[in-house]
Amino acid sequence: MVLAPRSRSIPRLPRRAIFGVPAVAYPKVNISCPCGCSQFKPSISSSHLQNRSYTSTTVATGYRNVPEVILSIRQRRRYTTEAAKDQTPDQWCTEIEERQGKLIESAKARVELYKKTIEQEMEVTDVQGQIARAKIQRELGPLAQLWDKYVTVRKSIIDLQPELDDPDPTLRDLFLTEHTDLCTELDTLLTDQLPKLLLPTPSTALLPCMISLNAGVGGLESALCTEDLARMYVRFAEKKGWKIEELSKVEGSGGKGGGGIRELTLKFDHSPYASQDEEEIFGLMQWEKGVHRIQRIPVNETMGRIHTSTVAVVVLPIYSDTEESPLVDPKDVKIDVMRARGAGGQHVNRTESAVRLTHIPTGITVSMQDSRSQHQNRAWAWDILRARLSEKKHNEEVEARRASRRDQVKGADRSDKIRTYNFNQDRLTDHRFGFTITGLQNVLDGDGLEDVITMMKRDLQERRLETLLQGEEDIDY
Amino acid sequence: MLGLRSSSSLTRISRIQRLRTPVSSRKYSTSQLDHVQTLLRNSELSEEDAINELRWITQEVREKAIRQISRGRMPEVEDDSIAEKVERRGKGEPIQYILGTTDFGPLTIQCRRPVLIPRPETAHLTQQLSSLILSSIPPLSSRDRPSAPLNILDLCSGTGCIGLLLAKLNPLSSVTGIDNSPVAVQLGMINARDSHLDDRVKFKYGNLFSTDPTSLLSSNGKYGMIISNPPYVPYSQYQALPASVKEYESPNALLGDGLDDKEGKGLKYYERIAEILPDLLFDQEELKVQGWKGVPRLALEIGRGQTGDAVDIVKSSKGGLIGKMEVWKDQFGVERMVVGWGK
Repeated sequence: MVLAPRSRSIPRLPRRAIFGVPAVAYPKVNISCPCGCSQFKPSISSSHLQNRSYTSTTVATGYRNVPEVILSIRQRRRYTTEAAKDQTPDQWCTEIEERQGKLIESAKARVELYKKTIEQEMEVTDVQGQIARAKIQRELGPLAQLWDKYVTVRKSIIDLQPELDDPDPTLRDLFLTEHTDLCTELDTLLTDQLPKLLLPTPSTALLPCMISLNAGVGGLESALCTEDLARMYVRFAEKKGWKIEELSKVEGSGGKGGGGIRELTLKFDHSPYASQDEEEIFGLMQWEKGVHRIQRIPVNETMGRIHTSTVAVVVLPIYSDTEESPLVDPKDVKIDVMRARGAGGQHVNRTESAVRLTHIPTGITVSMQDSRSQHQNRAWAWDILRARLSEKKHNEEVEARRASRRDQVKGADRSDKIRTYNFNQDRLTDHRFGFTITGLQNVLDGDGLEDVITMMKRDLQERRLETLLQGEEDIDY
Repeated sequence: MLGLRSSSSLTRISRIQRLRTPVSSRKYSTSQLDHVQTLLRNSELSEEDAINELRWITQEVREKAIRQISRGRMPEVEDDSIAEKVERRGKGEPIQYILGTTDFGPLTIQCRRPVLIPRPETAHLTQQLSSLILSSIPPLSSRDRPSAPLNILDLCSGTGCIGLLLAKLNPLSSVTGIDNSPVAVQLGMINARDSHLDDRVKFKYGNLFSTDPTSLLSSNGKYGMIISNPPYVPYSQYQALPASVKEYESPNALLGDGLDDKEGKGLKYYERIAEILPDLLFDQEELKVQGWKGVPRLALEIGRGQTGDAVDIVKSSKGGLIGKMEVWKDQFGVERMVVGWGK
């Protein structure tokens, strides 16, 4: 009957055993960050880091309505496109064009790659080369078309420039209207169409995900913190209209709703009413993986001391188990059965609901006995097994991509402490990025989380542009 | 005077409240442990079982409360409800009766005292039988495909679980469930309605031992297949059954020789089924005509150690309907089902 050996005091297997979350530990305190944490620097070069001046106001209000991929850039202009060759290199047609300089530069790099492949068409004879070339042409074809359009529009704006000083007021008005129209067209092209083509949403971003919260150090208080974070994610998901499924839950020591949560695993999936291929789930939630630190005076603290507790969050994408790319062969999975005990059948009346799956090729084992229904337990166990195999697949993909890149290991490892919630100062600090915002309750209510995630996404877009500029493979974390 | 009294009663109230707060909060934190202790009075439970069952009871009580609230009704007080259920479980009542349901393969089956609670072995073997039936029918686009639904008889249907699962897994079947307990027949109907299978699964009252076996026939006449999980516990073993079975489930659903025979081996039902087999099953030729050629004719669940006797009984059945036979083991490795095919 007993599927997995378990200690008497702990009611169920800690989920850590399943997900393999490393034990929560504090990184060594580094004085460099104002909040006393060791600051995590993602893949941004130091010169860029200086350009970042995200204050609480810009995050909370300023960025909200700005289109996503407008990147502010204060670097020296290095803009030289073919269209601008006959012009002075520093001339920008519109303000937006100047702001999107980096984007344009990356696009140009891609288009040059495309043109190079077109030129090589005659030279490449081997099959592999042909396939690679066809792939590039297929992927970059639309971008090259858009680029041609951009060049044309830009050229006509520049051609129109001298006419704007026409002495005849009627003609001048006419030219001015024409000029405004063209500029608007250019802006739409740059803010709307180009980012979509240049930085398409990665396919993994659209996947449903599984999120697992584990209370770390800090006893009852950390269980209460886990409950608060869980509420934040659930409310965030509710606002997004996702389907939320609770796979397992271990309540804290206080019992029946009063003692927080020790462990919680949720599955976020597309709402059945929304279109499946536009809404990001893993793309948004992936920024949450890591160790979250909460500093506050707990409700059960009588001396008024501030406690620090941690919550480990694991986010796994769930690849769909399709026939084209099977995740798991049912033949590879061993379903454990219990040994015969007594006569069985009508002679006894027992509930056999626990399920244990073992994936033989990888040795991954999943035990599930949350529900009274074995059927339900089996479905959940398979969900978790698929998620864990998904994670493996995802990691392999990321590793393969990293290995092909020149500068190694960008992005965060999941064991890093990523974020601090300080209740006394009403602030949230994200250590990957080094930004701080106030209005903590707003974030914990799920509203402000969107802003935080948008920051991370914007940073990703910027880093993606950088990698594209260097002619490397696209990244997604 | 009046003022004095009211002030003194106020002090009393506040004193009571002051007293109450720590007491209730103390009880609050240890209630889970208390419940586990209560559950452990039931000797059938290990500590692990007790912790699991307490969680299931809590989940069920909460889900029920949510259902009641959504229907605009006031739910029961959670603490009281859990405590009451834990108390009952501690005294030995099966958890399926306390919570009202059990799962049977993909189905959720309602359980009511004293109708026999579906066993996991039965679910396992019913699923196995069902996949065998599905794999034995010819492709649905071929000429030999079934021309009529497979007419199945579930004898001693109880909660109706076997018939419902067969109908659920095989859309080309219609099932008649027969039981000699009116409570069971009613419960079968409820389960059929809840599983949305009541158009293909019917339940009716009937007695296997009545002199006229034709009363067991369906509106379509004879059957293509009979499945049964009849009572099979001999009286000698009945005395030693665990309390959750003996004290709560109907002896009529357990004792294989009825309530009066204390010497038998629990085989009376098998003998009777073998006897009336020709009255219930149509012959193999007709089965072939209907396109159900490879389907078993008879499937009987048996108790441990009854294999030899049961096989002999079926072999010597009248009419020579059963030719080949197999004995299937359950998921725990015990020989649990006798399956017979036509000649």
